[in-house]
Amino acid sequence: MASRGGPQRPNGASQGKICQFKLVLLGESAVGKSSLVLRFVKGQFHEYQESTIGAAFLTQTVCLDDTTVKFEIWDTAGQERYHSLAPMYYRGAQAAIVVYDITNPDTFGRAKTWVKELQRQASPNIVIALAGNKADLASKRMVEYDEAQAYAEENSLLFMETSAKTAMNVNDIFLAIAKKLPKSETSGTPQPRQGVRLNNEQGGQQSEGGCCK
Amino acid sequence: MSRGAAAGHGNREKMSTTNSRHSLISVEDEADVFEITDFTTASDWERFVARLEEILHEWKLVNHKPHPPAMKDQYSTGAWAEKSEEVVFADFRFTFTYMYLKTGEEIDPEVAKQGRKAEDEDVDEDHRTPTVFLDLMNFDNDFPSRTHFLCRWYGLQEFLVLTPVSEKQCIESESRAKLLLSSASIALGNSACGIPLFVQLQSRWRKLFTGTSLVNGGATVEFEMSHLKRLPAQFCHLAGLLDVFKSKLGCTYISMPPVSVSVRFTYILADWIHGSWPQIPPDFSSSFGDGEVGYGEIDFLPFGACLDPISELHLSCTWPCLSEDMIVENSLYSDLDPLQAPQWSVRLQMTDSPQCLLSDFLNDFLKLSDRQESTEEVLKKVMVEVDADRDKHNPEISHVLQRLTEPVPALSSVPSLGNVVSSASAKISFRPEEAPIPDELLGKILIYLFPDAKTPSTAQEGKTNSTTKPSGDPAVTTDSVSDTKAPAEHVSDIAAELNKKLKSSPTDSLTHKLSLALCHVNHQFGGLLAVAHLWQEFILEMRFRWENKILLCGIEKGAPNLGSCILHQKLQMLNCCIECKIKRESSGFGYGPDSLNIHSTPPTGLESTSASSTQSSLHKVASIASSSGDDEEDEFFECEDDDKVEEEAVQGGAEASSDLRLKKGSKSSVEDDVLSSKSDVSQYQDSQTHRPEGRLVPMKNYFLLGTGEQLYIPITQEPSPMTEDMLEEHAEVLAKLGTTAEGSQIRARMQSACLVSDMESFKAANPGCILEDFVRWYSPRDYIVLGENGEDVPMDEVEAKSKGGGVLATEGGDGGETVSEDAGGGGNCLKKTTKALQGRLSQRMQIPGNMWVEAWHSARPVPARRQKRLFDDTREAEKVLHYLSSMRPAEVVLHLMPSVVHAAVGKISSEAATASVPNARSMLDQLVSRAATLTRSFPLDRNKYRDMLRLLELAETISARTTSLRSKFTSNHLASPQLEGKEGEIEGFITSLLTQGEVAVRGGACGPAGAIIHKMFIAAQRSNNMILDDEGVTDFLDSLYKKPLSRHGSDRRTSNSSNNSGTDSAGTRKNSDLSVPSPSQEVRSSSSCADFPPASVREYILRAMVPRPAPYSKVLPQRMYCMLTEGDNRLAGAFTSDSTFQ
Repeated sequence: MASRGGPQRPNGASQGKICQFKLVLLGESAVGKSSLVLRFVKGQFHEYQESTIGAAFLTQTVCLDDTTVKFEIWDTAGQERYHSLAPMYYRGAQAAIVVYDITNPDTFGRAKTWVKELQRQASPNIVIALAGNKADLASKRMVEYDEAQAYAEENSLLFMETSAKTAMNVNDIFLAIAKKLPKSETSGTPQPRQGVRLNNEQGGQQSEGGCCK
Repeated sequence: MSRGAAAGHGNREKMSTTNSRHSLISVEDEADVFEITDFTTASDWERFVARLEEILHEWKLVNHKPHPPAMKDQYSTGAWAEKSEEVVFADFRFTFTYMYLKTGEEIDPEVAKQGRKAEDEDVDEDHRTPTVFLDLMNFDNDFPSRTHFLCRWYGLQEFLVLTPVSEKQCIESESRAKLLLSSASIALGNSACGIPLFVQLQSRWRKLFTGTSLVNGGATVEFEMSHLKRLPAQFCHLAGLLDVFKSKLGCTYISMPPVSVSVRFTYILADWIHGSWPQIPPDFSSSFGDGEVGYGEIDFLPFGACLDPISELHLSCTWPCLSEDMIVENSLYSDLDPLQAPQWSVRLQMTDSPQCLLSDFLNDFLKLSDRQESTEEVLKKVMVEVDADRDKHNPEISHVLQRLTEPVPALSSVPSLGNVVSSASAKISFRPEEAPIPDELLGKILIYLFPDAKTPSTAQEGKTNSTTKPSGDPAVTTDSVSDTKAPAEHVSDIAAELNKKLKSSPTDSLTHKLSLALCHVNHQFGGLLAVAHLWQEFILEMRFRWENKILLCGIEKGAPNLGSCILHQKLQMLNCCIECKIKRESSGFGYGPDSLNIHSTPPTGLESTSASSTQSSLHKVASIASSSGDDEEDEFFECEDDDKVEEEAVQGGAEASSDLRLKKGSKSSVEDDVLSSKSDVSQYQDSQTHRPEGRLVPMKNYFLLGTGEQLYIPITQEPSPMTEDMLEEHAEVLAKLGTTAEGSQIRARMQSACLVSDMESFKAANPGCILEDFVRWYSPRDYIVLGENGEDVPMDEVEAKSKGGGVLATEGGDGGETVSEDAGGGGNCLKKTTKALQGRLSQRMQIPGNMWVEAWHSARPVPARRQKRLFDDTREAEKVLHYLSSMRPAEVVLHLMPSVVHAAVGKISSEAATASVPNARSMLDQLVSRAATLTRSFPLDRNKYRDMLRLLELAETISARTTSLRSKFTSNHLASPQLEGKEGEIEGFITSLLTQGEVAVRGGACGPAGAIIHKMFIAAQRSNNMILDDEGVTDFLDSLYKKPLSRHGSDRRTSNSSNNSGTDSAGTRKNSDLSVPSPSQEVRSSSSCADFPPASVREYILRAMVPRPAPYSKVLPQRMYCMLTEGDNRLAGAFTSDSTFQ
């Protein structure tokens, strides 16, 4: 009678679960980071996307089963000079997409160093995806799919070849990340961050940042 | 049972009549109610029974298949499970619990069957033997080492218990007990459930139960229990208990099969004669150890337990299933000599709270985090009088000072290391007797914290020296740092792991030392007050160093390491500011003697190695080159610190996005830069006329496209270092701009300061340069090389093709000679000479109005050193100093906790290694991972740190136990020739004693461990009875001599004496009953007392297969468990009777 059947009745909250995740795009310059984001967020593609200065910030919401996942996307500049700013963006990020250009092996090498850096410095359970962009230029391919795939498996990364131009795999890679992210009710950055903010404004001294380097 | 049922019926009838009367009354109001009232006729009692049945069904205990008996030792090693529900009988609430041994399917039925056959041949004729019977006669699990007491007393593997929920309510009358039991019987009977059910009687602590079990096939088991403080002397031994058992069975007249007996005696060793607790003696030589045990230098963490963490050793000697004919124990004689016991097992009794030094030390520190006072408030208490004095002399000034709640002036009234700024007020100081930390000691601590301030003079002079000495001398600093690092403690894996995983501060860093020093002054010099005092001194020193451009020692250079704790980052930040100030005020940008150092230190360790190394190496080369080449140039940053701040404030008011500006942080200056540079767009036209400035190094094989000159990489401004909280704030400001096009635009502008600065430097270094030149250096992939060139420009034909039929592609195809004008590129002239590479900007760089082009146009040729500073060291330093000075002591404590935990785990790991604690590795791993998550979690939560300290205490205790036990078992006194070569076994025994509850002693008294234990008992006995023999004399005298000297010795003595009185009375009582003439006494005849003290606990299990209640009834298992101990005697019988022909 008074058995344990009662409490499991959903109080309607399950359908409205909203998770917010910070996602950062990293990679050599001109590999198509901004284009990928633009395709994902606005569904657009510009043949010539302006070179990002510092980092751009966009948001996009996707629905996954009964969860609404909101991505806060930091699209960073790829120039070497901006490298030292990168920690600001991947710090506390729950996901990262490391992008390379399949037509240029150097960019793949650069992607590997990014992955290494993330593994060392970012939050320990960050979800990292590797995107081989410009897949529409397969005729110019210089990085073999299998090679990248093998590397991704070795480092347990999500991996897809994408094309911002044709929209191939763009949504898919973001969705794949969303699926892999832990979706507990409390996850996502907003609450803890706001807590810190308040401290900053009022206390002025307890102002250290979030939970990870 | 029948009585209960009858009572039930009566009850129900009565209830129903009253109810119907009720309903008759109410029927006048509502006719329909009648039906419902009938529904409530069930009495409380019926509902209770129904509820029990329901629960039994729920738990699937109905028609229960019999389980095989438990395997050997399964009761103590197997997993027990528990289900419980609450039931109500009238207003009496009970917890109904089902406890059972998890057998599951994992036990191979074959094995189980075999086990049954082998062990219970006499019982197991019938395969359907009920579980209860099997359990009662199961000889494999006598005296399980740890299990539920009902299981221990009755040997049951599953049972149900009814316990009153509230402590206050208890079943005291027998009739209530019977009523409950009979009700439960009905439920059990109705559900054909053969599981024994117990009802708890009397107060809970007495653990008194009565129980019943309805066995399928017409038998009932009655579980009875008696619990007595004193047992009549005639029953205090096996013979007496056998009499009780037999009379209870009530069949003395028939020839009874022999009763099988299992006996277990437990002896307690509480007096460790040869292994007194080895706490490290106090170190009197050190300046800190004023008599306190275990405290040494500032950087020395105390460790260990004050009391012996092991209080007692319990030796249990077991004689399993003997026949009653085989042994005799009566008031005159006993066969039960512990040395002859076939099974020995040992368990340790640990001291509850052995007062661990380290955890006390840390807990004291953490306690401060509860205090709410600010530093000033704390110090004011001591300083009030002095202030009053000053008021007389200098009323106005002090008044003003007090009015100002600004931390800085208030702080300066504290005696300092000769703070230059506050020299006027520095006279005011604590009166010597009021200073929380004595002067001399303070000097020592400060020298410990800032070893670079040390000079070969007395401590007090050292104090003044530390302030006056202009120690911008990096050589001294690094030397002293490396000196302290040299005697590196335990360079174990753990230490390295700690450094890597914990978000704290490196060992031997200033932060680390500060945390230890604060811990120490807290522990030894008056808690909060002393902490506030030292913290104040620390802040003053920080300010002093900033103002006098003395780098902090023990803080690594470079941008804040985001992997360290926030306080450490702040100090790093301050160091950056000091460094910057030194550079700025010495000879200009990058020319100081430090500049090499600065650049060669990898900025944060955050950047991937490849990136940072290329950058820093570039700069290194550059600073060498430039220092030789550009000596004559003496350029300075022109902006004055204070002016600049004001200037910004003024500008800020005019700006549209002024709200952003209000935020402290680098972005406001960033924005200023953008604005100022934008306003000057028109100024720069001809780049060829000015003299090149601020060149870092030539870029190999790169020549300006316009002039063909060598392309130089300029000296650039480093991006400003940021601490974690600044990063957070900055990112948030950027994110706040939103995702609109406008927001994005503003964001890009805000972030373009660095780009513009770099462009300006580039222009200054390369007169006559064009954007293409810049892009080739800055963003090489945005410069498209055409054709055959094998240069290292990474972007090759790929991108050229990607743009397909673009206009420029055809142009490019024309060849490198073409001088192309790009109309869309914001009027950018792309001149290509034959000398230069043949290529052009990427398409995206040519988008009209793009930021790069815009920035390029706005950039003037200004070398980095004359540009507006991207990093305002003055402001940042003030921010850090303000941050530090506004911290309350509680916050300081909390912010230092990561470092404290770091140090403590390090200490434990080294101590555990020396003590070779079993499973130390897994214990430490657990500590490290807990600490790692803890130090990374934010905000700092003192409760979580409290939990962490609890864990640390546990680890410390374990380590102390290990040390204690090992010293007890390896003491020289116990050495003997027959133990040679058995060290390994002893070691294994010690390990299992520490890790398991009860450990069997291999070989009993004859095994190596057994021999040692035997000796320990002998020694204890002798000392208790004041017997001295030849070999023991010196040792014993020794131990007597030592005892009063050591604190612990005296502690122990008191406990001994109390213990003695206890055992003595037990002994006298027992000696009257039975004297134990042990065979061993002949061997060690010199002593007149027994080797072992009287057994503290004696347990007996008596079993028999006897027909009950009548001689013609079925032969059924009977069992009685007896536990005799001082003041607590218990008999627990399970008597089965045949209910078929009753």
